[in-house]
Amino acid sequence: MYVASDWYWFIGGDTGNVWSSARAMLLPVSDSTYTAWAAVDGNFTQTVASMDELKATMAISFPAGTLWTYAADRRFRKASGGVIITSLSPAAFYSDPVSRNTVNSAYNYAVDNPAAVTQWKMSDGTFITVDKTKLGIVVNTMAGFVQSCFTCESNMVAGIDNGSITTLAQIDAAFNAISNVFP
Amino acid sequence: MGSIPPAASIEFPQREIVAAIAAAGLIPTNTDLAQLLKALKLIDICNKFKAGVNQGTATQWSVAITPLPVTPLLAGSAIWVKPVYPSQTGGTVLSVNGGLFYPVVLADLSPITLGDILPNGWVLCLFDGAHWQVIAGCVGRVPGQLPALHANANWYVNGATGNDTTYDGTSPNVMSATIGPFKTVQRGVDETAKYNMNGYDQNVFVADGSYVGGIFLRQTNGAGRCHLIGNQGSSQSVNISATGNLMAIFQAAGSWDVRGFRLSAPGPGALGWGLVLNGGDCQVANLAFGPCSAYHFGGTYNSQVSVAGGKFIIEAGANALSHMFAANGATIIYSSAALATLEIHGNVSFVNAFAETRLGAIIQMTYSSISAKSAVHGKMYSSNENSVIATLGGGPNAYPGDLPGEQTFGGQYIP
Repeated sequence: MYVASDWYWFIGGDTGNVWSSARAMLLPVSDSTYTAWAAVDGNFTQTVASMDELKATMAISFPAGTLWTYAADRRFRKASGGVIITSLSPAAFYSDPVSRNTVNSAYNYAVDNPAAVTQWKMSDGTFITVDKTKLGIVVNTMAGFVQSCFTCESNMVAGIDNGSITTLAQIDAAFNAISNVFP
Repeated sequence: MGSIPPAASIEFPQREIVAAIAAAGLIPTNTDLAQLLKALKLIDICNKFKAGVNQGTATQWSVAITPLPVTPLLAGSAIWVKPVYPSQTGGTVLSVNGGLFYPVVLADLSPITLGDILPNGWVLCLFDGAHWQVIAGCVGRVPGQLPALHANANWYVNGATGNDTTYDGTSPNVMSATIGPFKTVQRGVDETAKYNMNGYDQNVFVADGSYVGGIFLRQTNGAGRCHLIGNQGSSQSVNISATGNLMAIFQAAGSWDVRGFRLSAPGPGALGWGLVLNGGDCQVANLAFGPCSAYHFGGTYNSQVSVAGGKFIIEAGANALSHMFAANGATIIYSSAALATLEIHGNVSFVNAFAETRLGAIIQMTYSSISAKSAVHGKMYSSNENSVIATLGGGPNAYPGDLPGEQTFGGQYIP
C-alpha cells in the first residue's frame, strides 16, 4: 500500500536512480534497501516528471521527504509557533498566518483610532490590554521574527542546492537557533 | 387312491427354481436346499439385474441390463446407472437394452445439467413412462434450485459462427448441431446466471469481432467470480459498441472481470458509458476506449472498479465527459500487483476532466506510464463534494490535461 513517508520515485525518466522519501535523498537503484523494498508485493516505484513535481507531492503528503520541503515546513511551523514579548506578557502571542493578519489589522485600526484599546487573547488563554503603542511593538517584533524564519529557509535552500546542507538534522538545528523570545 | 401326478407337475416348478438360482449366479446343487433364498437375496440386495454402466456418451447414456420379458420398459422400472461422464448442459437421454432414449430429469422434470451428476456416482433412475427421473445420486441440487458447479465452467461466444438458441456455448467451434459457441455476448453472460458457482469461476470467452453493446452483467450466484474475456493481447480486436442511450457494458451487481475489449458508446444520449458499475465489483484490464457520450469507465453507488494491470488505450477522438468517473461512494482503485499503462493514440477531449469524482467517491489510481499526455485536452482532474482523488505520489501532473485540476466543495486531490 502506498505510504508517502517510505516510497520511491523515478524522476524525469532517470531509471538509474530513485528518490527515497524516507531518507530524503537520491539513491542508485542498486541500493539494497530499495531493492528489498521493491521486491515486496504491492510496492511499485512511482514516476514524476521533475523534482519540482516531487516537491509538490512531498509538500502535501510528507514534507520530510525532501530537504527543500522539510525546510519549508520547518519555516512554516517555526513562524507559526508563537512569539513571546516579555515586556508585554510572559505568554506567547499566536503567530499563525491568521493571527499575524489580525495583529496587522488591529494595529491599522489603532492608527486610525489612537484612543482605542484592545483586549488581546494570549496563547495561555489570558487577556492583555494593548493600545497603539503596544500593538506597534507586537507588529514589528512579529514581522521581524517571521522574516528571520524565511531568511533561515532561504539559507537552507541555498545550502541544499550547494550541497552543504544534506540532513534533516542540519535544518532542525538552524531553525532551533532562532529565538522566539523578545524583550 | 388319489390321482397320479404327472411328471411335469413336479419337474416344471423345479426347472423354474433352478433357473432362478442359476440366473442369480449360483450353481444349482442338491446339497444346498437354501439356494432359492440366496438367489432372492442376491437379486434384491445386490441389484444383480438392475445396475449398469453407461456405454454411451455424456449426453446419451446407454445401459445394458439383463434381458427383460417385457419391452418397452414399464413405468415404474428402476435401475442403477453409473454415468461415467459428468452431466452436461443441453439435456441427457437414457436408453436401456437398446430401447428408446428418454430424457433424464429431476423430480421437477427439469433436465439434468452441468453440476448435477458426477461421473462415478451411481444414479438411481425410475422410468415414469416418458422420462427417467433421478431418484438418488444427484450431487446436491434440490429440484428448483440452481445446479452447483464442481469445476470452473467455460462458455464461448463467436459473433460469426455462433448461435444463441441452437448451440450450448460449450465450445469455441461448431462441433455438432447443438455444440458450439453462442452468438452474442449477452447470451454468454446470461448462461452464467444459471449456476451456483459453488466456489468455482465461470469464463465467458469472446472471439474477435464486433458486438452490440448494452450488455448487462448480472448478479453472480454463489461464491466465485465470472470473467468476461476478449482479446487481452489486442483489445481493439473485440469491439463492443453501444448506440442510442446505452452503455457498452453495465454491471448492476456481482463479481466480474472485464478484460480485453474495445468499448465505445457514442450515443446519442447521456448514458453512453464504456463500462459502468452501479453495484458489485469489477476487475478491468487491457481495455481500449472509443468515443463515449458519458464516461469511459467507472461506477456509482459503492461499486468498486479495480484496474488490474495491462494496457489501456484511449483512441484518437475518444472524447468523453471523463476517462475515469466515480460518484456516490464508488471507488476506482489500482492494483499494486500490476500497474496498468495508458496509451493515448491522438487528440482527445474530456468535457469535465480526465479523472472526476463526486459525492464521497474515491479514485486511488495511477498508471505506470502515460504516453502522449499532451494530446489530452481538458482539466487534469475534478474532485468534488468530499470525494478524493489520490494519485499515489504521482504528483500534481499525474493525470494528463491542458487545464489545471479543480477541487470544489471539499473535494481533495492528493498528488
